[in-house]
Amino acid sequence: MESLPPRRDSMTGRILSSGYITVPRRAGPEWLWDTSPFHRSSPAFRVGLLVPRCGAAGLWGPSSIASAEVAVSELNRKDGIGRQEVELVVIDSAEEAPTPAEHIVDVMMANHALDAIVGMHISSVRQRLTAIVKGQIPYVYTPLYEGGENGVGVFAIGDTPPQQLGPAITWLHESRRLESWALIGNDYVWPRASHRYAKARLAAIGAKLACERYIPFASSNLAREVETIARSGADAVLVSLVGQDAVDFNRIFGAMELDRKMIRLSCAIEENGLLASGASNLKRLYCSSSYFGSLGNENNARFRERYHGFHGHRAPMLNALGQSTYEGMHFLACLLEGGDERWRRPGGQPGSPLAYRSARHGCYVSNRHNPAPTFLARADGLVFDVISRIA
Amino acid sequence: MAGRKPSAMNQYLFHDLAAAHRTLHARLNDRLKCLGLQVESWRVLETLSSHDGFTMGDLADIVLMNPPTLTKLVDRMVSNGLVQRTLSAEDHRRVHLVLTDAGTDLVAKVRCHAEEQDRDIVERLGEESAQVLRDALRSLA
Repeated sequence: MESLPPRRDSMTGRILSSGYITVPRRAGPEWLWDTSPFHRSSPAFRVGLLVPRCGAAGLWGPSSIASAEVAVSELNRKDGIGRQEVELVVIDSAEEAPTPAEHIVDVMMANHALDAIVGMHISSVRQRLTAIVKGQIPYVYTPLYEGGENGVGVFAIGDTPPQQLGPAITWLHESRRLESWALIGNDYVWPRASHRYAKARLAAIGAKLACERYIPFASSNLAREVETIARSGADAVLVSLVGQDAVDFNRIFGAMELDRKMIRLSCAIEENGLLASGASNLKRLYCSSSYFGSLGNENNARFRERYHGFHGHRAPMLNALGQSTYEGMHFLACLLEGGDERWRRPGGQPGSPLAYRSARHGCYVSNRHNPAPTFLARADGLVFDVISRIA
Repeated sequence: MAGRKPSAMNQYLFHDLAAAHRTLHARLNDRLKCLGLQVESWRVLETLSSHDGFTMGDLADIVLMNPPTLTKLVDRMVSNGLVQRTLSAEDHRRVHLVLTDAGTDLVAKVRCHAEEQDRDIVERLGEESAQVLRDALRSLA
């Protein structure tokens, strides 16, 4: 494994972060035969940080690693997790990763080389991981998702459609007088399940479904799909494309000047996606989320200060998906506090709501319900302008 | 060049330049393959490591690529977590390209290969001829 040395405070020499170990990007199956790198050299509590490091979701990787590092430095300044110093092992959990993340996790668990997982990746990867992890170690799944995860020891702390998507559709329908919607997403569980929810909401408010499209990652047919949406006569399009695919969609959408007649709504386009899309391709684009980098609350002000203090001028753009690993690490510490094994309870529920440190409102109730307030933002140039609290 | 068949193109100096470039480019590409990189991505990494705050336009001029091809390359490097886009602190309408921590680690490894290749060329030509060639090429670029 490649390793980064611990970062130390230049004045006091105190460890800020335990550094992290990275499973090589191009780890092939043969790499897994040699398990010696898994042996622990220190008694640290080892968290597998599963983030995409290539492919469509890869642009979320750097901010996810950077945010988790801030949490590790905060935890290690105190008691770590269970009085052990926290150590991160960064594992590529992209759908397109050369070695599937579940293979790496499987071998590492068999070698007792992982104590917990904090995962910021797409839902199809989560489904394969839960089948391997089977409640052996706690698994905190941090991003927004379609809802309904009920694996033992799996804690999904992100936004779900009833709080994130539903209120956004209703708000836009009422304030922008939208009659018909197009839906486009990548072809896997999150877009399809979210769109099922969206269709029910559209039917309930009396809006029409103009068209519904699903495409593989990095599809060469994207331009044709955008043309189909243009011809559908929709007033609005719900974009459930992942990372770079959403960026490519925005660039084509902007180039075709569709922003003049159609609004876009997304639950997953974040600040890095705005910069990559370009300001001229972002007119009338809305995003719904419980977190934006620019959110003006006390928790976020404190987090932003630490984040920028820690990473300096090379800090990746703050966004909902990146921040989710920060709170995922703190949620994990909170869940395991006192070592009472509450994470093993049937259904993966801790019993009572858990308040934990977050840059948004950090309170976990269940995998289905998250009480954090939701906001609707509109792209303004290259940044999000938060326009309304919608839930 | 020894293996090349005689052809009408050999009378042109610019053809010799193109042929030499192709050979050296391919050799460096082979060296970088073990790091999963191409020559073009090395140029981006090396350029961004010199200072922060390049825009896509600045970069296209330096790394000798047309903007659409460069956009695709930078998109891929962003997906691979080597490069990131940030908002200019002075002007929120400008996007700057900055290396990530992983990109900074990688650039040090890549640089060894590029320097080795450069040393090979200088050794083969001799210091003096290498300097003459360098001056000559710069006057043409």
